[in-house]
Amino acid sequence: MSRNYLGVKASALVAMRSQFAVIGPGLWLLQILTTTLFQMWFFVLVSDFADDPTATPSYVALGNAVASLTYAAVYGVCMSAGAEKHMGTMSGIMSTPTRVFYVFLGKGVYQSLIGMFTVTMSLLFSVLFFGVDLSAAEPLTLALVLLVTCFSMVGFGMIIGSIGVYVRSSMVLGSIVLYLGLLLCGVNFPISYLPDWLEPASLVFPLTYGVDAVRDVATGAGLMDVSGYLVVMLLIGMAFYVLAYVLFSYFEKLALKHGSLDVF
Amino acid sequence: MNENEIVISVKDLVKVYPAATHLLGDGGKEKLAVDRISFDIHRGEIFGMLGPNGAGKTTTIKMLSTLLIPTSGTATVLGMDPSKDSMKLRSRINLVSGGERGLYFRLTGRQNLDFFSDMYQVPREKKKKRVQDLLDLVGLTDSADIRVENYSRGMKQRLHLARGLVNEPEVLFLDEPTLGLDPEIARETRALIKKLSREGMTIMLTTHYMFEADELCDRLAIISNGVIKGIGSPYSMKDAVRNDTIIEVEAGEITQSQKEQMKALPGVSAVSLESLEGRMMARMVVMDAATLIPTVASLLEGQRIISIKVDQPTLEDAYLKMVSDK
Amino acid sequence: MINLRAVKAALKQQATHFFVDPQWVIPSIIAPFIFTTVTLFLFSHTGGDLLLYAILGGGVLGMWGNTIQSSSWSIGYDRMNGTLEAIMVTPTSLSSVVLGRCLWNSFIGLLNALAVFLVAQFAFGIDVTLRDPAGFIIALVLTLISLSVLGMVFGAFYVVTRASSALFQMLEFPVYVLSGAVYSLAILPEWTRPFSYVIPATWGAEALKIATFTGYDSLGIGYWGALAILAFTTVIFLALSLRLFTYLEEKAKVSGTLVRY
Repeated sequence: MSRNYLGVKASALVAMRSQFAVIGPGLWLLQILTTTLFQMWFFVLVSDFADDPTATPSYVALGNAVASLTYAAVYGVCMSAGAEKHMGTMSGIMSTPTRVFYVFLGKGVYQSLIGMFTVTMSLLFSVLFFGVDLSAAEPLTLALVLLVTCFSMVGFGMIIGSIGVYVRSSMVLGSIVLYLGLLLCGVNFPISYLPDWLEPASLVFPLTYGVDAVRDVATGAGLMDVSGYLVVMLLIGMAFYVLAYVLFSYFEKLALKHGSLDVF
Repeated sequence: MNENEIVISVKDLVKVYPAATHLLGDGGKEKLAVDRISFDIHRGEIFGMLGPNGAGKTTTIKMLSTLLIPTSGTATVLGMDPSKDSMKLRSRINLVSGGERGLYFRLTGRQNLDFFSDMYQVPREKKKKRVQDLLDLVGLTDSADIRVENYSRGMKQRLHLARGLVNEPEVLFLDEPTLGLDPEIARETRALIKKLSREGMTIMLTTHYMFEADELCDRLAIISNGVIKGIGSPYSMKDAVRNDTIIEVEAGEITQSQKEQMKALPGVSAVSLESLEGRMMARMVVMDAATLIPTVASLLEGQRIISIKVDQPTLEDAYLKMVSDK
Repeated sequence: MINLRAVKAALKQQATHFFVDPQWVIPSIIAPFIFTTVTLFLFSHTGGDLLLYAILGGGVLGMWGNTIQSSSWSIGYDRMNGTLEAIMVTPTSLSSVVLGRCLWNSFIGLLNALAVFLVAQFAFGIDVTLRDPAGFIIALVLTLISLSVLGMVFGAFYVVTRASSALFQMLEFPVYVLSGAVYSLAILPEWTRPFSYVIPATWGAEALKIATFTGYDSLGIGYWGALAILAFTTVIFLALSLRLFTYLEEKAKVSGTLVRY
């Protein structure tokens, strides 16, 4: 009985944030789209005010459009774990013979669809309102780059999500990775602006390669030109899935042992 | 203290919950929760509302404690209208709901009481002493500075009661005060309620436990489907079945349709069916047991009849008779 | 309607909750923190006053971020906890409780300004000098109150339903954009001005900028002018939120949705 209440007593934010993952797809989409639009607008205005020669408003807008993938692909996937815990359904899932990993893989596919839709809409925003020029881009190459970026980002989300199965503050972690990409991945300014010690961190985020690849495609690069990025993203993407599988199994065992399943 | 003073007066009170129309609401239909109920409660009395889940007990208590606005009818508490003079009335009443929820789990017991004392504007110079007195009263002095999340079920329930007393209410509403408590803690809670009543507090409580109503209440109202089926002291309630007899039949199996057939027999006012281990028991409230027993036995033909007993009626049977739709 | 003692008690309660679980502030101020840090990076190439814009704006963004994320949820927490009924049955108005909590949440949002200030000091080595420190503090306190009041407006809807949280969270970034906290209002397109003008934080940010930068006065209304409009818009929103609380409480008392989770 007190276990249930450990859930209730947990900070309000937990529940509130979990709602992201449990609200219906309509509201979820609306939330991603408004957030993305205003986020893009904010940084466009900042760049306009800063008057930086490299990080121009259209540079920033394109970066933010690609970064909108983070919402569904990383945050959405990772938060499903928190939501499951909040709803108290985690032990239900765990007691089924299906491995938790596969349950989350299913969620990953669902969030990928949402991610692909929102990134398309965000690119449309960036073209319509913020002067991004995609006329030189090959549509198929662009689509492929986005798909591969999404694939590797879901893998990244699964890793964060696996930790969420076990630790109490998975929500804190989830919200950090939601926005960290805006700072580290060349979304709003080239990563060379970062202090030297921080630059390597950006290489862990698949978003870094995705943003670079989309920028190249926008200036007319073909499939062969961006194949390097694609290979890297596929490789780290797969490494993420393998690692996520291992982590899920490990945390699953640990959680069952310590009974921290439905506890925040 | 004038024991004949009427503290709560309810006349033809009705509550209809409107169909849900709010944003993202799930729709739904209008629901008649309370249907023209009337009763009076005197000062210092423990008045109980007894009825099954969904009978309208909680709805009634919420209307009287200013949390719900009635659809029609009148209610007066301490001479005030709970839906119009709510702010004035609230400082003189309090409400405690059963169950574990309703406390700030991340705060200590004392912090919870401090917070609610502030909400009631308890004079600053009195606050510290009152909080301590309440902690003493409910026996939580030793754990006052531990967070509520570490409390046991019984401690939480006692803190609930203390919370309900921070403003020294003249009228205390208790909604299912022993819900889900283990028997020992429920007994302690009832003892505390009796103690408060002896000190002159007017208490209105809801329960669906018969023995609790029998043990605690000076008077009680039996409510079912939003309608009051009877009001009186537990003793006079039993009176309602004084001329009845009980037939208790135990058999290997008694079907729902057999229960309906029993109920339809002449002179039968109520039937309850209960499953025991590997057998069933039907309890019938009847006028004349002797003439009915052969009929009942033949009705159960083919079933393995274990025993047929004749018994004296209890409060539970009175309750059963009143809430039975026959 | 507003009872100061209850406001204080609610503020204290929220503070206690904060110190028990401080890590939960992160989800609420991570967005303003990253937003202002990115701003710092973009401004660092231009330098000068712009870095100060980032720190100052960081404070406003932080206060608003934590207000909309935590405060609007305030009643939702009680709803989940089962304490809403216990509060409702007291003679204190719900609005006082929500105001107290909002004030604390806005205050904690200032942690963001501190964090951004530290980043600015150590990563960019900029010196912060304020033109008018006293004026800055006054403007800061008033901005804090105005953002809390705005939080109350949204908090009121939780009396009726908890579903509102998903909708109100979408209001976090629009205020970042429209209040012009980290840049000059002048760069916003003309048509958005009316939206900016109704947000009290816009005037708070304006007063803060005037108190910080020598010669800044983008709208030509001066420090006291900005402060006066800030106070005026705050009072309007306070009145609006009190009306909303009364109206929505009444509605909930008819429909019986008050304590349903």
